[in-house]
Amino acid sequence: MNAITVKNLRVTLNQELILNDINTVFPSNKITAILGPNGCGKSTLLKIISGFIHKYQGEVLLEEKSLAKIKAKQLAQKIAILPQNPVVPEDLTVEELVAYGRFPYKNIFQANNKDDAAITAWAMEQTSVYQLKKRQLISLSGGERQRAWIAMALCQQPDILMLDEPTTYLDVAHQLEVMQIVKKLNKDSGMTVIMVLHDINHARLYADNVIVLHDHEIFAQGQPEEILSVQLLEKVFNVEAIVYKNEQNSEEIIFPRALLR
Amino acid sequence: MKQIQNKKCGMPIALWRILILAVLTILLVISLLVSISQGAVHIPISDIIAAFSGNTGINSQILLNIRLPRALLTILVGMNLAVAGAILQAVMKNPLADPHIIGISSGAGIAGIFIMIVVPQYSFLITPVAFVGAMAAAISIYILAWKNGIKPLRIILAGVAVASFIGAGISALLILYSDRVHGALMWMVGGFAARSWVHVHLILPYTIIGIILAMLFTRHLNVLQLGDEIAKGLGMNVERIRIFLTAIAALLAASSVAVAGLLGFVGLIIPHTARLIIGSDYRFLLPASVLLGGAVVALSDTVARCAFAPLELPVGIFMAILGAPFFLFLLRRQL
Repeated sequence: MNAITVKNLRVTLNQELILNDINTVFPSNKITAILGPNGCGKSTLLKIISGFIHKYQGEVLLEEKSLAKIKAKQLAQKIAILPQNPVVPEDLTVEELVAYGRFPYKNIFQANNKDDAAITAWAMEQTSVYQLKKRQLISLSGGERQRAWIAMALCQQPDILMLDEPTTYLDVAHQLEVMQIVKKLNKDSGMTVIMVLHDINHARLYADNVIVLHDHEIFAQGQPEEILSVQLLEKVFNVEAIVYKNEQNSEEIIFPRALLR
Repeated sequence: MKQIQNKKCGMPIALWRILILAVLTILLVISLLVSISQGAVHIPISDIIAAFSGNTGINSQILLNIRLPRALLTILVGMNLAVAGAILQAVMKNPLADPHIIGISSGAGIAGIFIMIVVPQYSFLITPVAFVGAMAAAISIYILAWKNGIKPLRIILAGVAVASFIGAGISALLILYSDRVHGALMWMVGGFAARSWVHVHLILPYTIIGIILAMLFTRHLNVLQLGDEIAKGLGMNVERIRIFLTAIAALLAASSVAVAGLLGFVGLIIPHTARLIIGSDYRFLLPASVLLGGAVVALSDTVARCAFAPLELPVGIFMAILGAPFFLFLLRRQL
């Protein structure tokens, strides 16, 4: 079963080619990572499959239905997306922020009720920010804040969670924390996750499926351990890499060692 | 806004906010009483009570036909401009967005002045025409500032450009029809001299409709504060909501321009002060702006009326004296 299917996608912006000939699927209940060098169109691809950008040629299907035909609020009940560096009003608390995740379920006359409060609490527990719920967002560390944003996305009760570079600006511990939350959500509740990543090793360790973009096209897609090779790093990122193997659990990591000229 | 803690004086934040709204309501009532009792003739509270219970003495006449309509008008105009400013600050993502500064009031103003001095026989059309002018100015600002989304700085620059462009148009009208400008001149600075029940009836429906609509969209305003991407991700049709909310703000601004002229800075000072005391949640910020806006404009007009008695200053001058330093304070703090 595929959560999202992309057929013959082509995007141009001001006559400049952004994405070309994209044919791919995002499988349900799996974690898919989108990788590629800066400016290859990763974020644009994410914005298209989340319904932010409507100007494109080709077809994007959510399950079997064309994404363009789904109403914004219905889409927000299926897909939750966390963009890069969102801004926050100075005095917003974690709980207030997370509760905004119920917005897609409400018309202008409806306020949040008890059920919404329960879902909000559940979402905060999933990302371990429940004990911070009365704190203001600006008073939190980068990692805590990111977990609060993920909780807001979960509060939408989506089938698909999309994250745009969720670990950027975080220290290593907080990066791992975010990755483990994502993995746990996927394992426990079967949530489909699609995320743009920069870290090759995060993709290798946490993703089930990888799409590598290069020069506005798909360079490779498949299982991370198969396609994220030394050769791929050479061709796509123009770096020389070495593979290290952890003797204890046979995990492999790729270390980009030097720029290729 | 760091001083807004989760608990204030040991009570939960929601209770605290309700308490603030109650205090602001009392402030508004006091402003109304001060406004109707002060003036060329001082009217004691006992006479105010007498007037409302059917007394027809001279003080009652002054009260019911002159003071009360004027006081109510100042309150309604204050409410309109404060809510218009609060809405614009969220939809334009700009702390300096005030209908006066960014030219929306000027748009309403040029339309109003045109009617007043060129085709005065159509003066009953002044509010709808002012609304069209305000909306045209707002749309021009969006078009000029739009480039892959809305950036606060471009909005303010486009707004200043639109405001000065329209300002030139207003000056041209005043010079071309210099024999008829006296009324228009007073109107340019914003004031409430010689306003009566007619004006109250003119603005009241817009105030009621505008504030009810704005209150229905407080959650949209809250979500818009998180940025366009988050708002879209939560299923909001951002462009449509933005145009709709701008139209509400333009309607509120235009109807107050139609009765009080180009009264500036209310839409800047009031929402920010309200934000400082009650926080940025629009469910509370909007009612706080309504109450505070009414109270501040009523009190300012009373001061402007009485400070140099028997000479009466237009309240617009008084608001500008307060507002310009406040604008600079915000500029240093937030941009």
